[in-house]
Amino acid sequence: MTTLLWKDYRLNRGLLLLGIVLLLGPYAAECVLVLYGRWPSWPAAADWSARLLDASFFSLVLSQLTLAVLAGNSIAAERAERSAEFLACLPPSRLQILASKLLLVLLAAGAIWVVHLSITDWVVPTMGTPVASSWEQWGPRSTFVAGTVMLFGASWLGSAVLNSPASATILGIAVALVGGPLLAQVVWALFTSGAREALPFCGMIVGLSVGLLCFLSGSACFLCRAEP
Amino acid sequence: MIAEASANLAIELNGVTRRFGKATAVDDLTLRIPQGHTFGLIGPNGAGKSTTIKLLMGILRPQVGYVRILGIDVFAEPSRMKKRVGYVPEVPQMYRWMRVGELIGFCRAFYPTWNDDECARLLDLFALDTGKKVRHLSKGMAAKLSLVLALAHDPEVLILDEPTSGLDPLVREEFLDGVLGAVCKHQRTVLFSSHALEDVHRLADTVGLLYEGRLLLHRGVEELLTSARRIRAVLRDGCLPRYEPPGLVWQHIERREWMLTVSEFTPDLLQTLRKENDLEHLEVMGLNLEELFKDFVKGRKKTT
Repeated sequence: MTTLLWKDYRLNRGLLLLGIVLLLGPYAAECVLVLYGRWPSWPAAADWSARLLDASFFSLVLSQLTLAVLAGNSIAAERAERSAEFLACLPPSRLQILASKLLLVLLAAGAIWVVHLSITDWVVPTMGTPVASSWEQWGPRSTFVAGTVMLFGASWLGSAVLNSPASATILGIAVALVGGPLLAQVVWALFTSGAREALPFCGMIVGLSVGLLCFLSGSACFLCRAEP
Repeated sequence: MIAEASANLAIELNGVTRRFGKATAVDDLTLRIPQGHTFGLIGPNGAGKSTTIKLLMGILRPQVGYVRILGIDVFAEPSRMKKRVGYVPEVPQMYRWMRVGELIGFCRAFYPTWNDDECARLLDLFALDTGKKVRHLSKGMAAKLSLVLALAHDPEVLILDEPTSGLDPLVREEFLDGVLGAVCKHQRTVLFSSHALEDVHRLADTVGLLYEGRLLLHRGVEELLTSARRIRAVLRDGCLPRYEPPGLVWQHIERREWMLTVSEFTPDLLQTLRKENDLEHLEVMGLNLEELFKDFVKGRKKTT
């Protein structure tokens, strides 16, 4: 399993580096901006925390791209370069191969959320700036997570079915940006009395359902599929 | 008794059929190869050789029948089977971004029986540079690396799918020497497909001819070459052949010349041919594996 994980890391090393840039880039940019804005004096803690909160939002949004590309690349990349045929003739089971790919994406997702949560729930509060409590942020965060699950699931399905990582990623982004919101609107219109407050909840349910369904069908497709 | 016989089989395909849409690539194929044998699978393009090998490696699943290697059901326990089998595909699709050493380390982790000494010996024999990236290897070097990966875990069964196709004669020679060394030293079972019939003659002790997904022939190479003959007969003016001998593989009549290839030649056959036909002249010729293969295929084409 460790060997498979190493191979998947090597296969996605470039993307992971890009992911680090997208994850930390907004923080670096905001730091430069806050220093530039207050130069030559040192910025106050409130300036820092406001900028860090902005950066954490942008970083989280940009990191969704990393997850989409990673999920889209995970299976289809080996099929595109035909090394999937080589791997299929080695002893690891399809389940082990799949688990290693999933683990890599989950580790990346975990790292993204660890960075985000440590900034918003630990660094910013220690600077003395009051922020919304975790409970208050639960709503927007859960909607965001649902969107991530949908993006990841659709890219994962695309990767399991298609031969091109780019097409798989585009499919994931299209589903998350177009299909998901449209479906959420339909669900909202059909199953609620039109209350605006219900819309994020519908979005969350749709995002999680579509994402999980796509993930499960993509995994099943990979497990049953013969390479090439 | 049957269980005992089955236990000695290295490779067993039983009534295997594999279709792609309406086309049948492998049709009710039954093939049993005992342990320690070297089996050459020959056949024209599209005969189903590669499909058969993919079925053996569990890459494709048969719609009918079952496939066992060393008594292990290929689809029930693929990992257990693959640990005991070495496989060289026609075009090795290894990780091109890895270095040779990295690829060896990667594969090594999956085989409990990996033999570092054997791996080092083969790398040395084939002059493979472990620091070189796989993408920078020539076709011949990639084929050799593929053979190293297939042999270094001391497999009991070696499966090769047209391994020497497209290799220059020198590399082909080195490659075949590597296979021969592995076979002779460890008494492995080898199944390989090839268009190069001189390779088949050199390596195989048994040969199977696949045509349109069916096994037309399965015999020992030497036995086949000993028993098969081409006969050239000259018919008397205005006469046609009246008697077709048993084991007729192929025949061709042009004017008075009647050429025929038989798989079961006996001296009695000549007497019968003389007796049953109006012949002016009769001549018997030997055949090599390539000529025999061509006659089998031509004969089959005429029949179908």
